[in-house]
Amino acid sequence: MDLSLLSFIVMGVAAVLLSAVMITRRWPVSAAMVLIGVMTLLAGMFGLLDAHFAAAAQIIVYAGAIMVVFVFVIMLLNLPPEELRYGGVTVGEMILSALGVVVALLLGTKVGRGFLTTGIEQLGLQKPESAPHLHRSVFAESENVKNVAASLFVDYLWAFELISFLILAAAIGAVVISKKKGAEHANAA
Amino acid sequence: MLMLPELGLYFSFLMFLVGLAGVMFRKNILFMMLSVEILLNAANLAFVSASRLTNTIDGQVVMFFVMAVAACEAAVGLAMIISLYRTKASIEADDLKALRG
Amino acid sequence: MNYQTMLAAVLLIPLLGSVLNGFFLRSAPRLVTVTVATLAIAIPFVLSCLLVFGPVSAGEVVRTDLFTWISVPFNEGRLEVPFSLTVDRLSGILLLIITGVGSLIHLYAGEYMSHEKGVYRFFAYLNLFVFSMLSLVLGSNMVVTFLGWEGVGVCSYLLIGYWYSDEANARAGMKAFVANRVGDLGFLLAMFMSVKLFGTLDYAQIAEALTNELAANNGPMLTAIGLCLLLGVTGKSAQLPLYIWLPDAMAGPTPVSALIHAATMVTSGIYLMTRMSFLLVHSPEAMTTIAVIGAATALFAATIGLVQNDIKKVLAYSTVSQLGFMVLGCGVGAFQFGVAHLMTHAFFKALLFLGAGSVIHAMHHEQDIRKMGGLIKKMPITGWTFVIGTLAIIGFPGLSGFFSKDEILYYAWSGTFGHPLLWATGALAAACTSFYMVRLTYLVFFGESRVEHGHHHGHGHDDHHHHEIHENPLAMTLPLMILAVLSVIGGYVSMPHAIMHVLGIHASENLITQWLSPVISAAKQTMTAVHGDAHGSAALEWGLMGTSTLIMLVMSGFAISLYKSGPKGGESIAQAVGGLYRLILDKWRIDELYQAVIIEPLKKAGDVFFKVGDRAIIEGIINEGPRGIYLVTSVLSDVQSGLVRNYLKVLFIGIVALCIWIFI
Repeated sequence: MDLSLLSFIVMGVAAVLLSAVMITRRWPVSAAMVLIGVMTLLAGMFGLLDAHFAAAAQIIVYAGAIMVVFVFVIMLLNLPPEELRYGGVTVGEMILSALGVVVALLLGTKVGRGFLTTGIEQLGLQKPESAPHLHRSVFAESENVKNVAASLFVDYLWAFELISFLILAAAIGAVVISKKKGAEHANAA
Repeated sequence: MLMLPELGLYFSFLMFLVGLAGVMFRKNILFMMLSVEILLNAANLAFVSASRLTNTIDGQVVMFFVMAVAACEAAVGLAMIISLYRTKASIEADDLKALRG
Repeated sequence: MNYQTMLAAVLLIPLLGSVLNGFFLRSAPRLVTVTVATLAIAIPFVLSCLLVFGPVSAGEVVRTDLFTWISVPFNEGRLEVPFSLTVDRLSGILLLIITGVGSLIHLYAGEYMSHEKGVYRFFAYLNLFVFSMLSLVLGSNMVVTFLGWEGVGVCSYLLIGYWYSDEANARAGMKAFVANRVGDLGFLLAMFMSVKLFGTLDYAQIAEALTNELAANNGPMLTAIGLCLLLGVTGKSAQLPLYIWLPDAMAGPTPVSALIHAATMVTSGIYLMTRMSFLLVHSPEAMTTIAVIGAATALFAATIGLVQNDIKKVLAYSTVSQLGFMVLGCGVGAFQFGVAHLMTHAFFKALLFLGAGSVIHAMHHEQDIRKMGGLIKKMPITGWTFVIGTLAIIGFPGLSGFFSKDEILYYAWSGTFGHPLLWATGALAAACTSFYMVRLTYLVFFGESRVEHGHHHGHGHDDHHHHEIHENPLAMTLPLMILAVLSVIGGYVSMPHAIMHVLGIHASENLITQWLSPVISAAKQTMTAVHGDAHGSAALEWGLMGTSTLIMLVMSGFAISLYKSGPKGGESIAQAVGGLYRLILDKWRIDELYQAVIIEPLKKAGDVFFKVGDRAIIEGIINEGPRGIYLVTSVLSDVQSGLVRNYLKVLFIGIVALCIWIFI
C-alpha cells in the first residue's frame, strides 16, 4: 500500500466523520468551523486525484469565500440558545437512517470489487486502460490547470458565461431579499 | 487492488448520506444549509473522482460550475434566512407551512 | 311616399311607439304616453286607408321585402324566407279593423286607465300587440305570420296579467299563454308539413304549387295540415277544446278585452283559415271537422253565457260563441262571411266591451250585473250604444249582426260542406245569444237600480266612493258612438242575395264576396269542381232568415219577461232544471276535467321526474362526484404538508427504492 493511497483513505474517513460531527453540532459557528475542516480535507483528496486546480479552488472559493459568508450570517443572526435546540428524533427518522445504512452497506459490498467502475464500463464510458492516448496526457502534473482552462474557455464557454450571469442575478437577488421591509415602505411612500 | 478514484466515489457516497441525514433531521434552516454544502462537496468529490477514473477533464469543469452554483445558493439562501428571521422570528423549518395544500 | 314604404311604416310605427313608451318615456306625463300610443296606431290607420282604398281596392297586391330572414339549404335548393309584407284585400280588411278599432280603443284606454300608475307599461304592451297583430296579418309567408302569432300570444299574456300583483290575474295570463302554446304547436306542425310538401312557406307560392294533381296525390297530408291549422285556430281563436283561457283572460283591463279578446287577436284564426282556404277545401274531412268544432263551440259557449253574472264573463262567453260562428262559416266553405262576421263582430263586440268598461269605470270596478240596473238614465250614451251593440249581436233585422250571422247560418245549411244539423246547432246558439245578451242589457241598464253604496273597492281611488254614477268623458264615449254607427251599417257588405234582389240591387255577388274574390276564388273553384254548386235557393234563404228572426224575437221577449222584476227572475227555471243549471254554472266543469285528466297526471309525472330524475340521478351525480373527488384530494392534500423536510424524506425513500431496484 503506497503512501498516497493510505493518506487518501485517512483523509476520506476523516472527511466523513467530520461531516457527521458537523451535523450534530449545537452551535452554528462550531459547525461552520468543522465544515471548513471537511473542505480542506476534500481539497487534499482532490490533490491526490491529480486535480490541482480543483484543490486550489476548493480552498480559495469554498473554504475561503463561501464559508466566510456563512460565518458572517451566523454572527449577524446571533441566534438565541432556544432557537438552536436539536429537537427529538422520531421513529420514522430512525427507520430512514437505518435504510440509509443498509443501502450504504449494500453498495459497499458491491464496491469491494469496484462495482461502480464495472458499472461505468457498462454505461459505455472509457476506462483509463482502454484509452491509452489519453492516459496521463491530460493528467500530467504541470498540465492540469492548462487543461481545465482549455476545456472551460473553449468547450464550455457558453456555460461559463451563463454561470457568470447566474452569479450576478444571485448577488442582486440576495440584496433585494434581505432588504429591510421598512426601507421598502419608505421607498414606496 | 483498490484505486483512488473508486475509493473517492465511495467516500463521496458516504458523505452524501451524512449530508442528507443532516438536511432531513436538523430542523434548523441554518444547519440544513450547512448540510447542503456537505452534499455539494460530496458531489464535487464524485465528479473529480469520475474525472480521474475516466481520464477526462470534464468532471473538473463541472465541479467548477457546481462551486459557482453553491456560491449562488449560499448567497440567496442566507439572504432568505435573514429575511425569514426578520418576519417570523424563527428559523425552524417546521414553522414554515405556507406550502401546505 | 310610395306604397311599399307606407306598408313598412304601417308595421313599424306601432313598434316605434312601443319602444318609445317602454324605454324612453317611462317617466313622461300620462298625456304624453297616451298621445304617443294613440298616434302610433292612428297614423298607421291613415296609411292603411290610403293603401286599402288606393291600390288594394283597385285589385293590386302591395308587397314589401324588408330583408332576408332565413336562408338555408333545402332539398338541393335553398329555403328562402324573406321578412316580407303583403297587403291584399283580405289583410286590408283586417288592417283597417286593427288600426281603426285599435286607435279608438287606445283613445278610450287613455281615459279608462287614468287612475293607474305607470301606464307606460300598459301602452307599450298595447302598441307591441298591435305590431304583432299587424305582422300576423301582413306577413307574406307563414313564418312572419307565426312571428305575429307568437307575438300576440305574448302580449296577451302580458296584458291579461297587467295587474300582476293579484295572483289570480297572473294565473289567468299563464293559462292563456299555455293554452295558446298548445295551439301554436299545431301551427308549427302545419308549417313543417308545408315545407315538406311545397318546399316554401310563402302563401302565394303555396297556392301556385298546390295543383289539383298534387292535392289528389297528397290527400292525407293536406288533411293533416288542415287539422294542425285547426289546432292552431282552436288555441288562438278560443274554440273547443282550448277555449278555456278566454273567459279567464277577462282579468285584464277592459280595453284589452275589447281589443285583443274581442276584436283582433282571437280572430286571427279566422284570418288564417281564410288565408289558407285554397288548401283547406281540398280536404273535406278537415273542413267538416272545422265546421263541427265551430258549431259545437258556438252552442257550448252560449249555454254557459246564459247563467253568468259577471258582465265581462257574459261577453267573454259570447265572444267564444261568436268565434264559433265564424269558424263554422269557414268550415262550411263560406270564408267571406266568416270574415264579414269577423268585421261586424269586431265592431259590436268592441262596442259592447267598451260599454261594459264604461259601466265598470263608472261603478268603480263593480262587475256583478245583479248589483246594477237602471243605469241608462245615468249613462245615456253608454246605455243606448250598448243597446245598439246588443241588437247587432242578436241579429236584429237591419243591423250588422243580422246580415253576417244569417249568411253564415244560411251557408251552414246550404254551403258546400253544410248540413241542416249544423244550421240547427247554430240557430240554437243564436237563440241562447239572444237570451243572454238581452238579459245582460236589461239587468244592467233597465229596471230598478240595485246599486249598493259604500261597497266598492276600486284600485286606489277611495275619494270616488260616494260620488254619483255619471256618464264618462268624451274620450270614452266617442269611441262608443263611432263603433255604434259602424255596428249599424257594417253588415251591409254581406247583404243576402234575397234581400239584394228585393231591393233591386242587380249585382251578382254582395260586396264582401266581390271584395274577397281574389283571395277565395281558388277555394271556390275547387269546391265547385269537386262538389258542384251550392244547393241553396231564395226560398230557403228567406225561410231561414225568418226563422232566426222569429227565434231572436221570442228569446228576447222571454228574457225581458223573465227578468222584468230583477235578477231573481231566472231562479224558478234554475230550480226546475236543478242539476243541469249547476253544471252550466260551473261551465260544464271543463276546467275541472282538464285539471283531473291533464294537469294532475302531468303534476304527478313531474313529481316522479323531480324525485327520481332530478333529485336521485342528476343531483346524485353532481353531489356525490365532487364528494368522492374531495375525499381523494383531502388525502392527497394531507400528503402535501408544507413541511420541506417531509418532502425530502419522501424523496429519500424514493432514492433508496431506486438504488435497490438498480443494484440488486
